[in-house]
Amino acid sequence: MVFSNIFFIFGFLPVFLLLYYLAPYKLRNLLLVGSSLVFYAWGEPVYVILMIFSALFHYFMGMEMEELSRFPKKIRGNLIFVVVIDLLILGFFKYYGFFLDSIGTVFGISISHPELPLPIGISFYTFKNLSYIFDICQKKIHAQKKLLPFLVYSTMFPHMTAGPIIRYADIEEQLTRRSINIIKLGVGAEYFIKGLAAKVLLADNLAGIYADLTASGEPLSLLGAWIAIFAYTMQIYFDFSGYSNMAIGLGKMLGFDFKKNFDYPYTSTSVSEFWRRWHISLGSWFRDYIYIPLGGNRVSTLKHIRNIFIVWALTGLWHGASWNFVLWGLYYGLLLLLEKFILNGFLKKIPKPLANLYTMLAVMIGWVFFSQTDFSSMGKFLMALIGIGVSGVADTQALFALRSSLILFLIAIPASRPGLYQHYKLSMRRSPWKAAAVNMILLILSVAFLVYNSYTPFLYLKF
Amino acid sequence: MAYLYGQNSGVITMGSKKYLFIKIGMVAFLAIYLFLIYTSDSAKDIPMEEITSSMESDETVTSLEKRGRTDLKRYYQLSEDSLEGYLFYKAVSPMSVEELLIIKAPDKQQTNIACDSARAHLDSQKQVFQGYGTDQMAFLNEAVVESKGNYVIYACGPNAQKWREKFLSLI
Repeated sequence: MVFSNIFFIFGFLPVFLLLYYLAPYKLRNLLLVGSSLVFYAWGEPVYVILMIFSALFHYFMGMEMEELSRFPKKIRGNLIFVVVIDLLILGFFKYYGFFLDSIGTVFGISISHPELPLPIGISFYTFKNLSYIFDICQKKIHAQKKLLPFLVYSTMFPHMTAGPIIRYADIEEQLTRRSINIIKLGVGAEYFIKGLAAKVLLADNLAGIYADLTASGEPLSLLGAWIAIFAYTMQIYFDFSGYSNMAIGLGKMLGFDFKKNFDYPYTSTSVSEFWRRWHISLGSWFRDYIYIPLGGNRVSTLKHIRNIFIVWALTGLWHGASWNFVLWGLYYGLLLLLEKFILNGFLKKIPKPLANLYTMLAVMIGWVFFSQTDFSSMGKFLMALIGIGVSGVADTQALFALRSSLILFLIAIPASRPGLYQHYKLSMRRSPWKAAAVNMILLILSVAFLVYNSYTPFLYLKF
Repeated sequence: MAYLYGQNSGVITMGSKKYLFIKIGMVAFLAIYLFLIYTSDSAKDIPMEEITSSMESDETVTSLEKRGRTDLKRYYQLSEDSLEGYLFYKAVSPMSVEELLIIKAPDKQQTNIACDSARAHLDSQKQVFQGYGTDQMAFLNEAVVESKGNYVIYACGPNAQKWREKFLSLI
């Protein structure tokens, strides 16, 4: 089941919320775990077992590591065991085909292998559970002794399938003590509607523009290439930040406060700033559990460069078992190093709009690596952006796309920046009824689009 | 202090034994689970282009009309963007139920959604022809809706079983 689904919005969610609000306080965790398993099993009846296994495995390992706190060697051994099991599961479902194909390509042989369906959210819940174990090892948290609160943390449906990757420490208290009230419900509903509208009204329509321009495989015009990548740039932002807002909203409705996962990344004035604002929970995961343990920047310059490339290659690989994602990660590693050692002073001196333009260009080129899974089409797309191999400066398809999507772009640009939302918040304070009307209109429009359009899943579900 | 890990390093206590048994049990469970998944739900990772080329070598497929994203949305409510690839052939005449759809989905959830859509399409076809289309109903009752790995097949018509076997032999 996904959040942008009519059955979820009008069936699962209202029934669950009603039961949750009516249930005695002590039963709420049980109800939340049960409902989360139903939510996951709805589309993944076989793989729900894997998710339960992962939760139980990390629960018991956490308990053991807590008890071993005075024996660093044994802790290290157990940590390696946990990481090996998690990598084995991730490798089995996500990466082994990729590695076999890569070996085959290097040696010029074809290695036949079966393909397994990828369990939804496997990378998200594995990383979340791993962060729990790492935090116990680093003595940042104590292991949860009670199974039920840990199952709430590990399987809770709002952030189970596509994040944010919630840290245990951030919601530890709320797992056993949290309040629900009409204000939180209202704020949560507002977040949810904002996310739903971003996904259904903006991301899904932007996806259509990108698909229309690229589906034929014919050479694009210069204008067509830029419209396509701009549409994809906006689509992926509204798709993923929309999902994150829906997750945060659902969390609030249930009495949880999750940290924000996006902070208007397209307003950034450098690529480093972009990555502090984009998918914050993943960026901080790699920083805390890979980059810093490797030494971060407190090592020699060469080792620092190595650390950056390791982290970004892994960030790319996390997104998908394909070389284009690795290349995408390394591209960002290179840009971050360029900014750190060469461009830093320059970017601070130039006017902010120019720095933002540079960042957006860098990010849009990055999305070419991300969206084109084979190197040939990636190369053609990158060439098309500088006018090489194009069908012309602007063809009829591009002009039609520009005409038909201009209004959508004019809505998407301010919606990706804070001004519009700040204006909305100000008016809401002055007139709450107006805000309620805006939310109601957004919900009705989103539902209308959901009913009319075919199913388009969240892009990040496949990671 | 039997429950805690030994005050004396190297001593196996009740606590360490308990977790050792848990770990062995969980690893054994995982191994069995992964083995069952591997043997029951896996399919070879064959590019959709290869499947298309092989299926299109059969004239009974290409005698139908090749359909695109609009018809995929119209008949199955599926968006081309949400799939890794597909092959869709349907008879030109609206009175014919002959049809072949093969889908490669990116993940298990999409596979299930595609499979549900194919079943819904089959049900809707049955409703249309119920009561008057004897031949059509016979084909619809024998229609194939199946998923393996990330692939889904919907096949209906006199060649449905042949198409199914050929498709399964490919993956």
